Amino acid sequence: MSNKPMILVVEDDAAVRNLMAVTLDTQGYQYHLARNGSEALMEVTTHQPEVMLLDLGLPDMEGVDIIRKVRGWSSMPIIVISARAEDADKVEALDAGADDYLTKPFSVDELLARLRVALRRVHAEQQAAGGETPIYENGGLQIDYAAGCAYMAGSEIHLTPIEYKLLCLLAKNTGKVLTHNYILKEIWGSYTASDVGSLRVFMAMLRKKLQSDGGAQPYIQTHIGIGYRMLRIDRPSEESQ
Amino acid sequence: MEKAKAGRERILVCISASPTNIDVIRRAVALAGAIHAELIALYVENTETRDEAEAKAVRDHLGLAERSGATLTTIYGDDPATAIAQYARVSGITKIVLGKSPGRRSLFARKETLMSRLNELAPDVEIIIVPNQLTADPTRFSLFRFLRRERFSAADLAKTALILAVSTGMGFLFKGIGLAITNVVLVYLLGVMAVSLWTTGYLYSLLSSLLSVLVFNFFFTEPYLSLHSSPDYFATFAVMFAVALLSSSLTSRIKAQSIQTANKAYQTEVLLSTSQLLQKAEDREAILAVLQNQLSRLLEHSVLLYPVDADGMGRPELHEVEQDGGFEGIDIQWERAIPEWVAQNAVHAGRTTRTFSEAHCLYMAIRSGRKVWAVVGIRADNAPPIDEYRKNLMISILDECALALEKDHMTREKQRVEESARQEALRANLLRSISHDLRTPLTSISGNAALLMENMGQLDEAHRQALYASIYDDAIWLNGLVENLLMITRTENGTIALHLQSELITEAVEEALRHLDRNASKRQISTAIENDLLMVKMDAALIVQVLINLLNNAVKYTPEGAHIVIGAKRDGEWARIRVEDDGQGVPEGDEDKVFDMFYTGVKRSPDSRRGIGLGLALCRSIVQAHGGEIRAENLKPHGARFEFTLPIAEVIENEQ
Repeated sequence: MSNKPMILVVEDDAAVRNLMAVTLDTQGYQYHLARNGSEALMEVTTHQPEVMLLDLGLPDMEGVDIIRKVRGWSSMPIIVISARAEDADKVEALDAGADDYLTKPFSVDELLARLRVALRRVHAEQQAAGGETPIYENGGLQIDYAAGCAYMAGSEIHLTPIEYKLLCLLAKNTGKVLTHNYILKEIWGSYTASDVGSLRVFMAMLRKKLQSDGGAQPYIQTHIGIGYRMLRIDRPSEESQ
Repeated sequence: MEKAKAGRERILVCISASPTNIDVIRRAVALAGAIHAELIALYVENTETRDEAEAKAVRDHLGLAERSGATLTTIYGDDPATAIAQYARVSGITKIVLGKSPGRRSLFARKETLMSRLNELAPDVEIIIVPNQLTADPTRFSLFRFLRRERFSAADLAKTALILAVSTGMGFLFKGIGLAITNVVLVYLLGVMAVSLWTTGYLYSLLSSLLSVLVFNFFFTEPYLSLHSSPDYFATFAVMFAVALLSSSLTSRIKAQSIQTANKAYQTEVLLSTSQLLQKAEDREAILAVLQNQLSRLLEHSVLLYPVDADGMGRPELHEVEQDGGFEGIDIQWERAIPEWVAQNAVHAGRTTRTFSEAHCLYMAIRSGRKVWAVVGIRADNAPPIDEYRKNLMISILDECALALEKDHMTREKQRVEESARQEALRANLLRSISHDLRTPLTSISGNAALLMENMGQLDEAHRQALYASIYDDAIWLNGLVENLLMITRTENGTIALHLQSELITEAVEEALRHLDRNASKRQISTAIENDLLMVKMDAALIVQVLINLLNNAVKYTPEGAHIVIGAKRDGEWARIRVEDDGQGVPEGDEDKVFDMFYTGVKRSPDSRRGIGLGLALCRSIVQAHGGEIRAENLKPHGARFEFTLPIAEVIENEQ
């Protein structure tokens, strides 16, 4: 059992906590439960879980503060859970360093899918621990950082400089939801209203180019009002969002 | 002006420049206090020129009266008695308090006293005379004082000399062609009248009358070129002097009256245009803008304006004119305490008043009763002081503005009350519908769950699956309801706070398709978006909700296997987004009503399909908040189309 991943569930509502516990149990994950922020921080330091599922509406602490504290020493994936009407909270949490978010009410399948994405990121990071790999590979997508070229199923994709920059940024954060603000800051270095529109256009173009070359598989996921994410594609049609 | 209310006395005190006036005001205040009467301080402005000291005295006396609780009024009239009597009649004055006046001081005025004239003109008003305790001002009638009031000007002197010279020239001409000497006298009289018409003040008229006589004597009476003359002419001289003096005095009076008429016309025009502009002004900001404009035009001073509301004083609006250099180099912020004090106490302060007189500006409250709507500041430190005439006009404008502001405030207050009543009714209605509609799925969820818990063994797999599915569906339906309710709380007060961003329609549609009812999978949903890069300004969360509602609506009212198309295309500056189905369509004639709150298609029966008619109503308010329109229509041969518009967002591609 010790090689099973350890998940920390931080949720104040007993019913939802129970639901998550049962779900994780049936899938053979190890888990620890925390009912509030201070318990969560305690669990993180004592058990070093691989992934944290964090509810944003905790009684004792702001979810964002917990993320900032944990990010002080750990880069473990954090998936925040919140209601859909609180887009601003999600963006804030993602900007603070969360990797992904789940919207209440969520299905069990959705929860497990996000968990797999997060764990894959952990493993990819562990494998790449030796240093920056010069070649990025994800399903049929290949990026040769040294040559500055991207390939889909072996044939080169023709990208404009901005599109290439966007692709690299998403690739380096595979599995993580990047907010619009974060992307704008990284690519354009600044944030102006007119850039928001152009980001949408560049992203749409990039998605089209990746899609037309690589079949139906969506590599870049859109989270409207929040941001974008590069999905890790291991085997064909495993991820079906 | 309102008529006197029964039982309440109205006392009028007349303000003058006389030093004894202070005593008169104090007596009037004491009297008003003793009989609980309303006190009105009246100042009659006329065309007589006044010097600085007098003007200041009048200002001081008006200030004293105002501080003592009197209402200030200024009226115009050359004859104070008529003016006061008229005012007293119109405004229902019961008592008039006067100082014992020594009579009018004009050179050629009637000698009747103000008191007796007033008595004659307003017989029903009680007149109270305050005895003059000071001895009369010794300089009052001296020549010195008269001369002091006259303005000397080289131009006027030159004009007088020129006219005299021309008259003399014409005299010689007349004499040369042999006309009688009497014609020359008439020429001089004409000259004197011309002088009084073209110069200011009595001095030149007097001077020209005297000189005319002397020059006439010198050139045209025997012995010529000498001031000696035969006694025959003395009568001519005397009559000539008297006629010259009288006619010049009359001319001056006509001139003064014409100036007064012009002033009055100007005042009427300014007030009329102000009230017209104020009537057109639609809100507080517009009213204040009109005020600021009119004031700075009238006074030619820079004007600043602090709006005052329940939260206190707002940021100042500046209106600068060139004449006084605007507010350049003045620390308005430093003086801010003064307008704040004015707003609190509803009295005037700043330059030219007794409070904070070192300030750069004169601050006045725009108020009705004790309620201050705004404080107006007028730069008064480096321009000539505002004369009484303009000051009075200004106060009229301020009063008018206060009235307009009060009216605007009441209208808004009324609207607010109506709006809140409407919201209250809506909320009550909503609550009723919700509590009814929440119970149905909750009953089903709890019932099905209980069934599963208690009869686990007796149920076969197919039955259990059906119960699970029913619980799931009801829970999802409840979630959809909660989403819509949350959106409605955002649309409360009729205004939606939009987080507008440029978004691709394709992305919004994809997002909406991810959140559809489970039943949606039993319909064939396809997209027909003309251009993948069609981008609109939208609040993503709200528009996604609109799409979800329209799609779920289509799912709800179509049979299984129906076709649903979600499409979008550009139409000029707008994007048209549509959801079409091939179901039964909207009931004929209900195309507009479907967007009303609590509309649920067919008439409700106890076991009708659920839905509380919030979805489409919400869609309409969201689309309208985006500036777009939404409408429903039926398709041939059958089916419904819901279409809404959103403004296109143009994108500047920023490739580096």
